[in-house]
Amino acid sequence: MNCKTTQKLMLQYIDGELNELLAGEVKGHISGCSECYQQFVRLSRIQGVIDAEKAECQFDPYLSARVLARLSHRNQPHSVLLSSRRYVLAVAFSVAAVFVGVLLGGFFSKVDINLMQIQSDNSIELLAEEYFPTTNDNFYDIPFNENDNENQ
Amino acid sequence: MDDSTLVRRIVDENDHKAFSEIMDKYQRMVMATCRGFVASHSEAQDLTQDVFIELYESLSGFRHESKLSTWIYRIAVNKSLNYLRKKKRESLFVSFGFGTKDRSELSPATHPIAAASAEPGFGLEELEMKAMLKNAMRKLPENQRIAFILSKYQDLSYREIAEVMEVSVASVESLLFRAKTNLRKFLIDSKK
Ligand SMILES: [Zn+2]
Repeated sequence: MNCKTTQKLMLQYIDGELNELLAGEVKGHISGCSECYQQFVRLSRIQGVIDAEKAECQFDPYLSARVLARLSHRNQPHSVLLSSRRYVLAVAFSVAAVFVGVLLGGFFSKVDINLMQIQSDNSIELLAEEYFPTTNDNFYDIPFNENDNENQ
Repeated sequence: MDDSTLVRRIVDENDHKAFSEIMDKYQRMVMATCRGFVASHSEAQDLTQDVFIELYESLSGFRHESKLSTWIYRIAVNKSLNYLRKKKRESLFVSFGFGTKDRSELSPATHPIAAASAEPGFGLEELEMKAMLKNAMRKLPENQRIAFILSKYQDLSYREIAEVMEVSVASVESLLFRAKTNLRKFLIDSKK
């Protein structure tokens, strides 16, 4: 058996997966070839690495309690449908919505009060001038009282 | 109590004690499977919890035709692969200049050498081999990697691996042969 074939079968040889005939040929080649022998030594260490990693996986007596705690947390009504990221987004949107609502609410409540005044005062110009003054300069120059008196 | 009875208790009565029994029975198996995919033990521990959360949520869909262990292996494999994909996306994100670069570059999940050197009880040669093996395994096509891990970290038979992966026994044989050929190539090439 040549080096190429030996090396190709090396891991199967190490794992004991070759039939007796092939295993014998690989073994024969390795014992007489330093390059293939070095490869054999090197690759033989794979199983040791894997075994060491497996050995780290010891029984954890607290694992089931931790998982159950996470499950009961997830099953609370508010967190069932909301993943943590969605939850943060939902809170952010709610805060933003409330903020916008307060702003708009403030604006419209002001308008409403003014509309009531308009109905009683019967002067639409008052509002228009208050929010969108057409007169050039001074807000206080507008003769509200005169108009009011005329209409009455 | 056998697995089927425990599963029925969990699904029908939300029996947490039954679920604890399942977790205690299968936790090392799940952890070792996840360990094959990830670079550090702590990642495997976190993934194990995630696997059992998903198991709990999917148990109502469990058909008692296959073994519970097969079902759990599938969840463990999928969870591990999804975790690695997410890590890969995140490291890609970092490589484009977002986030904290140095920490993520050295995080065990993206850097096997960082993970290997963070663990006690290994000599330099073992550390090097461990890092090289993890790197080589990451280069394997997904289905070869799954077959290799189920074979090496769980000692499952070809037939058992075939059941988990839902392929034929002949496919498993071929996957494992190719996985080993590729691993040897990666490991020897990385030494040259
Ligand atoms: Zn040779």
